[in-house]
Amino acid sequence: MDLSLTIGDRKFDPGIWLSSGIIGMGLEFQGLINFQYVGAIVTKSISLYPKPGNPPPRLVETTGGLLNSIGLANPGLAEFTGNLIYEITQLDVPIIVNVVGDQIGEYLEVSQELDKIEQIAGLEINISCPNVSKGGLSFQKDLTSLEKLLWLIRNKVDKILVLKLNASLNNFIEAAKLAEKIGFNAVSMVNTYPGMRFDVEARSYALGNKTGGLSGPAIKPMALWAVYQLSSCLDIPIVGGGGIVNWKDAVEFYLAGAGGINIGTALFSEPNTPEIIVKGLVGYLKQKNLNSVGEIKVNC
Amino acid sequence: MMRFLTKLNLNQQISQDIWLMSCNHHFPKPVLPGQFVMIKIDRDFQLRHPFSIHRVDQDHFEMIYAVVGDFTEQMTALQKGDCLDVIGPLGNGFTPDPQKKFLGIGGGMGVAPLAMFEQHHPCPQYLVGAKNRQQLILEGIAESRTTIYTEDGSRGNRGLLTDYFDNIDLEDQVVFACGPEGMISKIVSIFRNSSCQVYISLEAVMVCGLGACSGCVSPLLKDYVKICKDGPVFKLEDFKNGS
Repeated sequence: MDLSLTIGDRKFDPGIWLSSGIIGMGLEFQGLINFQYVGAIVTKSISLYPKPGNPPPRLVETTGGLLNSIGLANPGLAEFTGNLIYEITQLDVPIIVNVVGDQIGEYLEVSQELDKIEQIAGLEINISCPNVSKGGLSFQKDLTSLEKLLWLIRNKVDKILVLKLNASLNNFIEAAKLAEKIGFNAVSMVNTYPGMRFDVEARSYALGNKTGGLSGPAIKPMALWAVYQLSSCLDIPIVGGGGIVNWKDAVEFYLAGAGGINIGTALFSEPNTPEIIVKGLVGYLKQKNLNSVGEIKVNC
Repeated sequence: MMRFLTKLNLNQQISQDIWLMSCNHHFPKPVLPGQFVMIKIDRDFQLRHPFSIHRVDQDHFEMIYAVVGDFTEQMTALQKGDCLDVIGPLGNGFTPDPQKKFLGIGGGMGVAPLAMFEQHHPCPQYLVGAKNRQQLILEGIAESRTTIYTEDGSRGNRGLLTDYFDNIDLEDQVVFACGPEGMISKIVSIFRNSSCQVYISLEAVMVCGLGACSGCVSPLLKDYVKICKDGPVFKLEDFKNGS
């Protein structure tokens, strides 16, 4: 059974990635996830300098999901390239590094430094975090600066490049097409959806940052819609995700047009979701007499 | 740290909205006071919730929980023989020097980890506070070594336990405190200039418990470190001035 995903010249087998922000640096889940069933881990966002993140509270549970406002907290590029990356390689799983910046120059510097590190399979350029005032989603909002950003990165980076998009902005198709035109190798859909909650007793915001990003099963139908919208517009693969917790959810994303899948919030509930999904997908393919996830298509 | 399925041995209400749960499990390594577990109940998707380990013996561990939301409401329906999915023990924990005097301070649900010190110190003393006698938790700690405070005076001294420190000898003790943010702030300022070694365990909403998501940081600490991984037990020096 072929569960692989090929992006550029790189094959991920299975085509199952663990989402940035959830999986941390991967090491935290050692002993809980069977990494043999993981195609790649997408690290926590890395910025040029360390970021402390947003004021607490940063987490609120919602029906079927999780609102977070972490704010891209990370140890910064020097700590990552000096120590962490070598520790992560112990996991023996391909590593995609999620890259963020406040400005174009910062994205570029981080991307170029990471491009030199052999142990890194590719970069996921994050222009879609809803939880920061500078950088993040503001780059997706402005397609002119986005084009400049993506073009500069593509011209300086040899590794495969993936653009992580937010489906809450209605320009995500244009942004994805732009990435494809510039030579990005894949897009990752979706980042969290903007959301918020309130504390009714205290009459206050539930999150320190007031607003946050929603993930988990609550967003699955919207994420499927976004992947479906994109799938007819792109030739490069879509790594689809948003609320996947079991193999049936994964099949839905393949039906929507994803070439591979991202598992995120499910890991907080069931860390070993990748193995469970792989085994479920193999059973499904056998039952349907299919040989690969690429053959999972809608019957019209 | 490990993950395991455990069967409930006991789940009973011990006070108003407060329950004691005992699970069958043998931890291969010693569990330290302050360590916690992340648990889930449903087989389907459900975010895990953190609970202090209240007490542990060769074949069991206990948690105390307050019914404060959907998850803990669901916990109350569990019965002997039902299963829990557990990751733990997690966090750093702390053990006091048995040669020194030890004071454990617990406010509200912050009493939950104190019983662990019965196994780690020959003669721990306790200060325990609650809103009222119905919410007071004395489970697992020796009442003869405990001073009790309730806000309404329905049991023990009236008021907050932090109101009474003028009458307590604060010199050269090892202190462990756990409780709500307001209590912790006062504890930090009370002990700031004392000669005590003070360790404070923080509570927080957590979803991974592993240090992966960076969701559990505290406004009381100097830095946004991860409570689940770098704590939950911190030294007094880690706290902001005036926190």
